[in-house]
Amino acid sequence: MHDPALRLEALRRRLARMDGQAPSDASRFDLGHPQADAGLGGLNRRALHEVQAGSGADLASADGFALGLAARAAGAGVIAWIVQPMTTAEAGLPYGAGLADWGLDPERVLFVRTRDATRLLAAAEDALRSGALGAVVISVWAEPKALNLTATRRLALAAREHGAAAILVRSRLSAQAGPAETRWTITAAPSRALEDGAPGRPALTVRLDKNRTGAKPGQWVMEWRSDERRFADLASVFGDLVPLVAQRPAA
Amino acid sequence: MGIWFPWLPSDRRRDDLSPSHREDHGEETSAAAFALVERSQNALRLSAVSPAAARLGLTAGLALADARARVPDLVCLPADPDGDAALLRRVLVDFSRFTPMAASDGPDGLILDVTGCAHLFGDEVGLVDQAVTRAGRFGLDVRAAMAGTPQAARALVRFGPGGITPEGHDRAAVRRLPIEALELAEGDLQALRRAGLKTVAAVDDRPRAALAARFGKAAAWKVDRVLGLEDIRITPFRPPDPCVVDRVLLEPISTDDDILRVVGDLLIETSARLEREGLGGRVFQAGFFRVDGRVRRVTVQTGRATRDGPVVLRLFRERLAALTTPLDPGFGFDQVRLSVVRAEPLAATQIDLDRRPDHAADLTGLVDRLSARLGAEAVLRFQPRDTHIPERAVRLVPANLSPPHRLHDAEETGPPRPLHLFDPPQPVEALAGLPDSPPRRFRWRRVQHEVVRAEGPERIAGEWWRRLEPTRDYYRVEDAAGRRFWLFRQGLYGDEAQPRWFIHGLFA
Repeated sequence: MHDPALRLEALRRRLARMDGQAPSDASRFDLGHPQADAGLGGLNRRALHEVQAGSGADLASADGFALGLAARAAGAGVIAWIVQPMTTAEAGLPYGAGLADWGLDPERVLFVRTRDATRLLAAAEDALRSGALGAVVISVWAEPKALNLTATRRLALAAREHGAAAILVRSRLSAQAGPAETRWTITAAPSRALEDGAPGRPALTVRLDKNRTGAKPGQWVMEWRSDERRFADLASVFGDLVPLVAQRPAA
Repeated sequence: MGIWFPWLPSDRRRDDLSPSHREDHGEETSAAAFALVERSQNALRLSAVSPAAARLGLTAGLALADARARVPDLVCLPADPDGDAALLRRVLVDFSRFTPMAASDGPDGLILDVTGCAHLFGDEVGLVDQAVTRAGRFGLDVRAAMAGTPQAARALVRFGPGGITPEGHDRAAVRRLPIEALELAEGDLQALRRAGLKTVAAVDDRPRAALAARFGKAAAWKVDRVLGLEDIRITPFRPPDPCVVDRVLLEPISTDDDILRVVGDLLIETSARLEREGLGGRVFQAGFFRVDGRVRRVTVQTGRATRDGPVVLRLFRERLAALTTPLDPGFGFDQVRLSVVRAEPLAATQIDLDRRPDHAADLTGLVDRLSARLGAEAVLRFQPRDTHIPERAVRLVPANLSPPHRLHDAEETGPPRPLHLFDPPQPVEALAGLPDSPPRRFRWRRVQHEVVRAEGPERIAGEWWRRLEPTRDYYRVEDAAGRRFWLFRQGLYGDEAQPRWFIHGLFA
């Protein structure tokens, strides 16, 4: 937040968004979250970003955040989601209706299941290099041996050269430093309740650990708004009217 | 080309003779007289005999007691028709290298349509030689005959001298055969003999109408077919593919590079042929014929019809590298066949002057490559279905198939659905108020969760037209840590069985 140039850029982008214009810099995408965007100045679309779950139980939240990033990075493009068997055993298979609820178009999501980590990384690289995808979400389980520094560097290189965002999701905290442009740690957060005490929109505690743009690490509580396809800040929104869910099931 | 293995059952079992027996008769096991015995019509009968036993006067169908009376020290082995059929099938698969139109002919023969194939194997003489050699590798005594129609070939190989009948001479050659070649019922043959007709020529000279009147129309047709006047096509054991290209190799190959090079050459030829017909291939199959007779087939699929040789070659390379059972060349492959199993019309495309990247084509190319490497079941798309049962509402289908159609509008919103779904739902222990309050706490994977917020029930009843599934009440719950789960209770309180609780999915 101390870099005036970054703040200026973020402000310009916010103005453009409020005017309804698309941001002029096509190689960056943002979260839609004012404070995080202001601090970061947007995320590089042609780069590798790492998302890690705060604990094994937060894997679903981490997946959600990664899909949110992918949705914003890919725009109208196709997203590929590549998983290992352990991930689907722990958290379950992706659900098309859930993806639709998240704001993604299930027809523009390609789901790839691989048998082990080596094949996973090879498939991810192939997907990034194909040039046909907007974003590739790579879910790895634990710390596979195959995911070493060389492997992450190759993914980052493929993302940079071919213009697709690579989002690596780890199922647990990892101390490995890598060439990722940004690193996020996600844990679940209590949502803002709807009427009758129903759970509200998905809420996440998002912590930015490291990033290469030099912005300071920070932590926010965000909620994902699937209708606007963006992350909104949860802690600061108090006066907003809570929208009713369109079709409430009969109690 | 008709192939006949006159001694197939006994040839196959030659090695089953006990070692002592072999010692008695020295190394000449082919001179051993033995027979295969089966139980038929409440008596033990000979189902097949060895050549030596035949020379001693034994035939199939003889009762075992009679046979033993004639030849006291006859060795008998139990008949195994399944094993014979399996051997015949292996030979058929091996012989399909000569032509894709190959079929079995009875339990002891094959019939091959070698029209236009002979040049690959050194003309008809070479073809017959190769067939005899390969049959010899299986340990079988073989007769071969070539004629213009399948029925003539069969008659010539079983009842005649065999050999190659020059074109146009079928009728003359078949006329020389005895009337057994007509393969009519025994009673009809007796009648013909009594009438003084001993050769096919004699029968042919008689007016057909008289034959039909006495023996029925079927007999007249048989005569026509055997003589080659009427031609019935054979039904091959595998339907032939639209486009087939073969390469016979003088020296067997076994290294991956050589194999891919040959496949690449065949793909160039195939592309040329497809282009001539304006077709593109969707499914390509490479058949590798081993020297010892086994055949291995490898298939690749593409999402869109294509004639691009290098692209398909790359798919084959991925597939061969990813095979679960590696391509085992044995002593080498001496023939490679490339067939286009499924072809679709493909018009020639015009390239734009400004080459814009074709994302759709890139995407199908990526899907094809990943499917070839990881298997078609590993690259999936979401396909919505018209059902309200959650686990059936969206199906994962291989992305290789044509893109799915939308079943419903995107504007339609329903109750929220989780990002992840467990298949099958996992049981949990839950505590809830009656009759249908959300659970207050539940226990999953040995962790206790206190429910802080909940929404529901959403009642989803089973589809009565399928089978009677219990009704489910779904609840969206959030625990103190902020994790959101999709639980359901199966069954209602007050029913005979205690209702059970499950977790079906996780929200983000």
